[in-house]
Amino acid sequence: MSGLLRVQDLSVRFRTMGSLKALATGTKDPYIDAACGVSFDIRKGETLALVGESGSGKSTIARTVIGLQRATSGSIIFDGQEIGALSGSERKPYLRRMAMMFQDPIASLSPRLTVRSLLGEPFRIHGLRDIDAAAEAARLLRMVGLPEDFACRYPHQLSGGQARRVGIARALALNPDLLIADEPTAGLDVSVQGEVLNLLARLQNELGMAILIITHNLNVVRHMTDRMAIMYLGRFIEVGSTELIFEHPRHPYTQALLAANPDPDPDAVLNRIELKGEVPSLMRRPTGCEFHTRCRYAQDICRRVFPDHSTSSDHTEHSFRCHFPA
Amino acid sequence: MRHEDPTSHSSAPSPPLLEIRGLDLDFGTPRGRVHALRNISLNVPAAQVVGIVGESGSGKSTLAYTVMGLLPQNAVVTAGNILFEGRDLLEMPSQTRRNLLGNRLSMIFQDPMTALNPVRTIEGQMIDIQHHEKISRSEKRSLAIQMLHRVGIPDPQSRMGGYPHHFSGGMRQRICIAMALLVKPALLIADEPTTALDATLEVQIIHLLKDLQKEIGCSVLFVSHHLGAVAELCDRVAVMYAGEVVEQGGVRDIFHNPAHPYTRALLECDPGRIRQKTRTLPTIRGEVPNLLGSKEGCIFQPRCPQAFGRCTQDTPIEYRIGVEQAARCHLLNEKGLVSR
Repeated sequence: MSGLLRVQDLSVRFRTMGSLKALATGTKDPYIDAACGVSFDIRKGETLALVGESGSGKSTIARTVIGLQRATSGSIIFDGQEIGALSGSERKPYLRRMAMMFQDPIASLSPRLTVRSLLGEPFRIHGLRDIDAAAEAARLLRMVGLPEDFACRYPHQLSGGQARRVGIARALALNPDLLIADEPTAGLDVSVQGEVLNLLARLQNELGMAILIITHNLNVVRHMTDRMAIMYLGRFIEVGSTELIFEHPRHPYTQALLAANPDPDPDAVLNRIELKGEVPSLMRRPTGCEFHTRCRYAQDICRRVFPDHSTSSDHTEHSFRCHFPA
Repeated sequence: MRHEDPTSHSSAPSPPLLEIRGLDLDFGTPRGRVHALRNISLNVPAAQVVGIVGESGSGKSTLAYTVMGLLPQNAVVTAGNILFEGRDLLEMPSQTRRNLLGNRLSMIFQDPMTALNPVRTIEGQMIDIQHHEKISRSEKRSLAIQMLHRVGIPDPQSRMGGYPHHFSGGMRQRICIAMALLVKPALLIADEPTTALDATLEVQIIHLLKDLQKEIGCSVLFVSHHLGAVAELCDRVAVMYAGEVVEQGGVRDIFHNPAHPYTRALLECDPGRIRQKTRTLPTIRGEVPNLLGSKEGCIFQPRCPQAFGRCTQDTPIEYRIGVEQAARCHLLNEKGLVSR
């Protein structure tokens, strides 16, 4: 499989307060790094998951890749072309080959447009005027398993699962090479969640696009993805094949996250690793290893020295940032 | 004033703390009446954790709100009783019922971001909730500090002067739990208390609830759609579908030996239970029925893989299986699994 997207050393920095407030409160550094030196690549037809708790920077990375957010530094190379520095109109042909499914299915559909106009939007935006919008809408609805008469409906007439399907249909309208799915199943019930994931899997088989899934639901990750990256405070702390990471997580945070996935069995042996405290603020990143404030293996060195990426001896694609990997 | 229930020490089996009997509830809408709860019977024994699971729209939150008396104005209880400590909540004068809230009954809400008053300090809100207690303000304050310390708020003495926006989501849910348990209620109703939180915080909150429930000895009605959390926390489970309790029983019965086809389908759908990696996940075909107007037959029949003739005509009664388990399914009767 060849590379489709390569992200190198990507950082995204947000200003948290105006210069006057910074002066008044004596803040020297009124910035947070929502993403901090992140590198990864996605091959054609592959599925990669970004996993992490709220505020870990997953959505920021997705928004930066698709150009809704400017990167502060680093490069985004899509199909051999650096697109991070391109201007809006130069970027457009590449954006046509990427699509995004947004987190809130109902809110991401304009309430005043019918499903037919919503599905026609990608064509209009990319200037494809010689297209039969009605026929395209019917084709897309069939593709995601909705009846064709749904074209006349408005978003408020759709259930959560149906709105997701329309979101998928719209994202796949232009047959993209990369689909970015931001929490594709958040807020859905387990039975509907299965339907949406099965649909995504089927369409990936048929159309062969790569998928970047952003989620905190580890069950989704285990069944849907080839590789996964675990994020903490805007950095990747462990990356590798999903199977390997579930089998043998190396970073203590990954271990805790996997153990926090409650087993729906009352007699399950609970070897929960309960983390102390909460995620630290991005304004006050801990020194050394940023996870040491919650880590049960933390030693003196963890408080002082920032751990570098190390790789597993037998699987070079599996890398993690920890002084004392399991 | 709190009294120990004298019956709890006698040898006779004590009546359940909360007993819901044949409860029907409708919502009036412009298109007609929505029968949101139908024939709900459910017991919460003293000092036990009872879980209510179901998908969105199954009526689990409506049930919790009915017990608390927090329903919107278009809700009408058309039949049934809710007995709390032997007295019917629906029959008593509204002032008497009001006095039970924040005293014998308390509640934790789903969203900790909106459950607290944003313009008052935590201290003020925690002192207010003890308005039933006849103790001095400084005693109330020190009880509040103790409770905040117990739920894991660091340095409560100085932090309780802060406003809700000074705290993160997990901290706020801890404060809500502290407030709900500060009055030492007999029954705590928790409506999806971990849904708005991240996975690692969810674990912390579930452990905290479990520990505090044991310490205080209260009962908990735990509403959740998260099967993993229910399996871990609850003693008994009621499964709701489209406004009915389709199955209830001990937590092991429900998870290891589900009797109703819906319970089985729900458990099968949970990807957490599928050990083998798969790209096609099980689903429940069809959709949740519209509850407008009257329905004949079993409510799950249109989606049930095992439905047969009788299911379209008769509404199944609650058949008992074993000692504690009961389910509304004609198949149990057909197969002779019902215990008398």
